[in-house]
Amino acid sequence: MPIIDVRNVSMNIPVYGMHSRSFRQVLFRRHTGGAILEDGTIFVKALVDVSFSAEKGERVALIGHNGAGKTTMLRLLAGVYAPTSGEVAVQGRISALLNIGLGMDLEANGYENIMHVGLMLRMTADEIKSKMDEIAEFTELGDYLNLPVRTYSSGMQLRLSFAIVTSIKPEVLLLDEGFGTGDARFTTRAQKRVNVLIESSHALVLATHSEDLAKQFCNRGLLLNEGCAVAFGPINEVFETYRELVAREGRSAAAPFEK
Amino acid sequence: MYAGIFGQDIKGYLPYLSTGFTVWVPLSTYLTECSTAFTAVEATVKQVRLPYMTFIFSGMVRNVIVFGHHVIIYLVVIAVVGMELSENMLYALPAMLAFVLNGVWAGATIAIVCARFRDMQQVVVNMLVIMFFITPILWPANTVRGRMQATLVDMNIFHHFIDILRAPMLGMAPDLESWYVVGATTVFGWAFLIWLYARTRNRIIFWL
Repeated sequence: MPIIDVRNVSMNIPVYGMHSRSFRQVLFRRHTGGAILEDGTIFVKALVDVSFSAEKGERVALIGHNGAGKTTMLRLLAGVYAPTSGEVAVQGRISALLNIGLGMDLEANGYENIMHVGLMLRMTADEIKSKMDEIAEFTELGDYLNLPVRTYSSGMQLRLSFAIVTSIKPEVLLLDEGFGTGDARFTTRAQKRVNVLIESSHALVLATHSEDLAKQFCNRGLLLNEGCAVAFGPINEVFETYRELVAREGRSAAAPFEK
Repeated sequence: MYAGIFGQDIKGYLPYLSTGFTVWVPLSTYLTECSTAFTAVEATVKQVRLPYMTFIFSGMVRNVIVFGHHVIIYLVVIAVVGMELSENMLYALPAMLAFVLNGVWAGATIAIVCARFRDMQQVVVNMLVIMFFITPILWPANTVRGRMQATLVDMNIFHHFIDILRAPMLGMAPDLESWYVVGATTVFGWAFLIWLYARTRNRIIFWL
């Protein structure tokens, strides 16, 4: 039984422009009978019939250009999106490190926020209490943790939320490359902490552009292009396909200039 | 001063006004907060799978606590005017339950609609201001008795809700008619929310 099983998944994401965000505008559109302004819900085909699976211990790199569907896939695996069609099954506790700005309560102090955010990440109160010291230590914020979070600099807020979200020991880790981390010294420590997380998880899905990063952590690759799965297999083979794809696209993009 | 405007006895008006506020302030704060309940947690729900109702319930709990604080003012007022305790006050308990039950569907509906249509948030806020003035809170319902405005009061759902809780807090039995309205609202409201939530739950994320 694979830990991650994604079968024939398609994902259409509706795009809401300013005109359809307004109740007044939608109401007006209904009254004009829709003849002049047609119902303008635009869909982005973010993923088209994608299948892949990962057994225990497999680490999958999602590779592809911007907009290829990497983040959409991570959100599907995290259960944030429900697929338009197909099935997504993930066994075990998931932790998604996608963006860092996880709803902190600016009026509450650091310790209260560790509890608050921890609970939202579905840790139990006891679990958070037992990790409290370790999280507090990692933030290096010291007495600032007794002050409301609104008094923190953005870098300090970043440290706090990073420390909280990385304190979970997940079975399935979803990681976005853009998961940013403050100043240089902190970045090194943060990198170490993420590495430990990756090594302790049962399965990893990492979205990245970087070949080095992907080859360092992953043994499998899934190449996405315009929402379609182009290749899935051992990481080295998939990167070869990726390079061919880039080269081919480079040629066709350069073609008009050759004439 | 308002006691004078409405020709009321201060001993009757003061408890009336303070209980009215005790009920109205948490109610309107809760509904206002619900209008941003989903939009405010965008960063969280884009990362973790959480039932949307979590955010409705947290707002509910917060305002039940606020209500608890306001009750202290109410207790001071009834002590000062020397109101006698009455068994009618027990009617306040089912009334509070009705508030919580209806708060969930109303709050969730507002949150969903305001996530989809961003201009609805202003509408909700303004509606609540209008409701505050046309609902008997500052002024007793009997000041309009026999006039055309009495129909408006009878049609006002907020009036019936506030009445089922305020009347027992003032030691009076609540109007049975108000309870009928509240009961019907609870059933229709929940039916509506179940329909709405089933239709929208997978789409809310795209609206954020």
